[in-house]
Amino acid sequence: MSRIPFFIILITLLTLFSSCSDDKPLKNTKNLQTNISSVAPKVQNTKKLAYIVTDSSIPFWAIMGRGVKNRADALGYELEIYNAENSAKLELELTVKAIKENVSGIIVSPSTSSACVTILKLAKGANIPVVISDIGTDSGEYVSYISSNNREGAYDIGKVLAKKMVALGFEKGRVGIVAIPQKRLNGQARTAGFMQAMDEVAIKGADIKQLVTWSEEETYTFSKEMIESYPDLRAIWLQTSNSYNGALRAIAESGKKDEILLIAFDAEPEFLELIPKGILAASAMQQPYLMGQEAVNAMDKYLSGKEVQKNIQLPILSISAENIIKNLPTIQRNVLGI
Amino acid sequence: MEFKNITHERSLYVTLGVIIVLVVTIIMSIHTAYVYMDTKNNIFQGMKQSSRHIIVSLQKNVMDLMKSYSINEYDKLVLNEMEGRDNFAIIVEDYNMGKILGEKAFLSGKIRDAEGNIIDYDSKNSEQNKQLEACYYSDKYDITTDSGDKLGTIAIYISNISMNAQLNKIIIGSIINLVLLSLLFLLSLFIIIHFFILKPLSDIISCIKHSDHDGIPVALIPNHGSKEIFLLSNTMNNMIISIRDSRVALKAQKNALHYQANHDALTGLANRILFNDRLEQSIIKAKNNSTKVALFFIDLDHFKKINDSLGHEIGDKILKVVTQRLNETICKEATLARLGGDEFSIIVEDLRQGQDASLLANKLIELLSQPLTIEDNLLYISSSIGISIYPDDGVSAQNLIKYADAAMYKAKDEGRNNFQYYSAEMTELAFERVVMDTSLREALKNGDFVVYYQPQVNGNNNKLVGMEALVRWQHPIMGLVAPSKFIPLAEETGMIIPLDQYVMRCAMTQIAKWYKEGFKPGVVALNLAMKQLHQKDFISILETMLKETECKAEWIELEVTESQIMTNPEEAIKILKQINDMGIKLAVDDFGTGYSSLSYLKRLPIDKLKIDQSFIRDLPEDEEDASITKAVIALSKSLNLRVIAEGVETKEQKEFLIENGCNNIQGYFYGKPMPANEMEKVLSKGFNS
Repeated sequence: MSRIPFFIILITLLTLFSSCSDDKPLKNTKNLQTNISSVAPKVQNTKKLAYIVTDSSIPFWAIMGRGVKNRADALGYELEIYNAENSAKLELELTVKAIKENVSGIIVSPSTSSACVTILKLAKGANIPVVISDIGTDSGEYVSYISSNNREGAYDIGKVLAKKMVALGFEKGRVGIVAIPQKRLNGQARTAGFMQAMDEVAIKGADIKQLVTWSEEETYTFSKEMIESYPDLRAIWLQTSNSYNGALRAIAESGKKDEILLIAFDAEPEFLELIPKGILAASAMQQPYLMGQEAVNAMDKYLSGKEVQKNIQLPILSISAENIIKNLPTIQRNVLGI
Repeated sequence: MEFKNITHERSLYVTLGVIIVLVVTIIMSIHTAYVYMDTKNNIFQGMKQSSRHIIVSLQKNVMDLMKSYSINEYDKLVLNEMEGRDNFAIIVEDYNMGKILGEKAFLSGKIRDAEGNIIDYDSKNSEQNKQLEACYYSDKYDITTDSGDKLGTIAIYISNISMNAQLNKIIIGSIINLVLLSLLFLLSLFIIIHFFILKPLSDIISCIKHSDHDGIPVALIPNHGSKEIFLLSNTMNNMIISIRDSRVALKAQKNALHYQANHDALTGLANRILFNDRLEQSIIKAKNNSTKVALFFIDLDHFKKINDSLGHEIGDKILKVVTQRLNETICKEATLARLGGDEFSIIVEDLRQGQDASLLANKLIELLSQPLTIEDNLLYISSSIGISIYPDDGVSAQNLIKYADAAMYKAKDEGRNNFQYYSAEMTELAFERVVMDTSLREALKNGDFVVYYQPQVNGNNNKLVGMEALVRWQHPIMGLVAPSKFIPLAEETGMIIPLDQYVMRCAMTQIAKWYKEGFKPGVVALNLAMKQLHQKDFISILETMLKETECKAEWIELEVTESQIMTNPEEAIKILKQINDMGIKLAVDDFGTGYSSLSYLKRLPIDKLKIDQSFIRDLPEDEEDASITKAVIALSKSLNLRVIAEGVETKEQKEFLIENGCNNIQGYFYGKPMPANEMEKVLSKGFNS
């Protein structure tokens, strides 16, 4: 009697409760079976690379695609370029397609760093390595990320502008910025580098207006607004290249062609004329062709089992009338892919 | 009560402890079970509610992102929802993406790993799928566009890990509470039980354990504590009292039976059974003490005739009277028994000599021969007594009885109304003693005792300083009988008292006469038996005697032997002080033989020490006696007492004593005890030695 009980009863009760706690799950879902691995790659004998690009109608990406192609050809890879045409859906479809093609590697210039995450996830599911060329990714596994050193490039072009403004006696005036979305890491880096150069010579800033549609009209509107708002505006920095005409138009219409300098980021073939003429004071030129080449290099290294640098940052060229002649071959090849 | 075999029995403490533990455990377990179930239910309800909130907030946003194929974006939303909540997983089914993949749906989402970290859900991971299967609760909702197109689903999974953790906390808390409360309960209940039940019970047990040889508790049980304990104690006390009363009654009954078995119904005397037992005991005692035992067999002469002629009733009355007379005669220590019919027996212990029994036998013969009146009949009876002595005649009770009986028949043969020892020689000696006793009484009656005086002289100048009065028996036939022949018998029979008083009266009369006639007898020493002092009226007798004889107190000196003082020193001091207060001097006789304690000697109101003649006899040659004598003299001087030596017979003895400071001399050297007329001559002429 004396040995009974306390523990037996306790254990019994606790067992009862714990069995309650182990009740069968209350389910109203069926087993989840669909998964990424269902993207079954084909059997591939020759080395094949896929380049998925967000929109090859944009010169920057087209040039980068040429760099990729150039280097893939040089290294003996078969290359398929998939143009997502600025469509998230198409980008994903193409990614799936590339995976099904069982490419040896994917080089991607994603539409957004967020979309890149899904691309990386899909590729990982098929065990395909990915090199990101520009834009970057929010997360995920990749072989290497090739990017321009936006901050340094912006700083350098900022210094070029500052020098010009000082030379012209514009240093008391303001500089307005038509920016790419600042949510993007490259946008933030560009602004930070440029502002640092301005701060060093104490040139004041005007508005920063972020592009949404990236259209020429939008650039025109933003530029016009700033010109009107800031009478002492002495320069406009366009953080992109393709909509430069909008800015030029706004300056021309304001009648301040000689009072407001325009600098840009990246390059258009027209820049080869506009810069020497002084219509465009300068531009920080990424080297998309070179980036495409470096992306293939990194992928090749990886596929050859060599060590690959995780982040590769390529320099940005600060081109003004003073050095454009000298850098013309580089610009033509690495920047414009001509 | 037997307490030895109860060690294996379970203590009340243990039993109560087990019961309390069981009850507390059951109650606390039920309570814990209730709390457990309630908490579990609450947690579950909370989970359901929480998951519904999550889903509702996610549904719209995910739908928008799903539409725009922003998989990573809705993935981030899912991550945000997971963070800060404790749901196990959120899984999204994306039909649009599924189409791209060629599947029904694209599965993504977040799930927790073993450490609780949020990781990506991988639909290929079977372990994760199992975990989802095992989840305690899950809920799934459709994601539809505003137009009603179904884009996918979102499912939330809640595992029981966190719930179990909470429930485990509750269980552990409950167990701790259970243990603590149990301990508290146990402690409280044990204290209460101890003081209100066990302690009173222990007291009862302790009281019962303390019992007498019959197993009855010595004291009554304390009746404090609860009502039940009080009732128990009271009931037990009633029982004890009842048992005690019964025992007393039983004991009385037993005693009565025992008495009847050992005593004669008619006379109340010891019967043969008790007599035999007493005789055995007396023999053992006598053997140990080296004393003698006398066994008396008394038979009434011709009693049968009285019985036959006057009837048994008269006979019985005679026996009762005889019993009464015998009881009055014998000493307290003696055993009187009726052995049957007219036969009585007496056991007398502590005899020094066999013939000592003869005085009693003689007294009994005389006593029983006294006539008695029964119902107006004047009856004369006599008795025959037979005596056997242990160990002279025999050492066994059986033999002693046999010999006493034989001696009794011998007495019958000798003509009845006499006593006979079993040993003829003893009978003879006894008769002598009886004769002497009778003679002493006669002599006292007839004035055959005379007082002699022995001079006490100052050895320096040979002047008489006093004298000692000594008794002498002038027997009409035997002539002068020496004191040693009759004083011990007188002391034994008590005749010493009348004898001493006779001597004192004679001596006082003589002294007064001498003083009246102009003599100077000095102080007359008178011997005083301690038995005398024990007489209640001795002081008044002494005063009367002094008055009647016209003897002055300072003319006399009373001598008490050292051995007699030392038999009861406190009593002696008391009485001697009274005598001393009367102005009578006191001397210690036979000093040196009685083992005096110096402390008592100091307290005795005495004036003089008398050195016993046994120390004087061999002086001065015997060195030991000389030393003792010197010591006694020195002692008397140190105590400021006078000293006198008796038994001085030679000149050497006298000179030795004087040299050593003892001037007072008594003995043949100066004169033997002499009658008064001769002493008168000495008083007239003095000593010329």
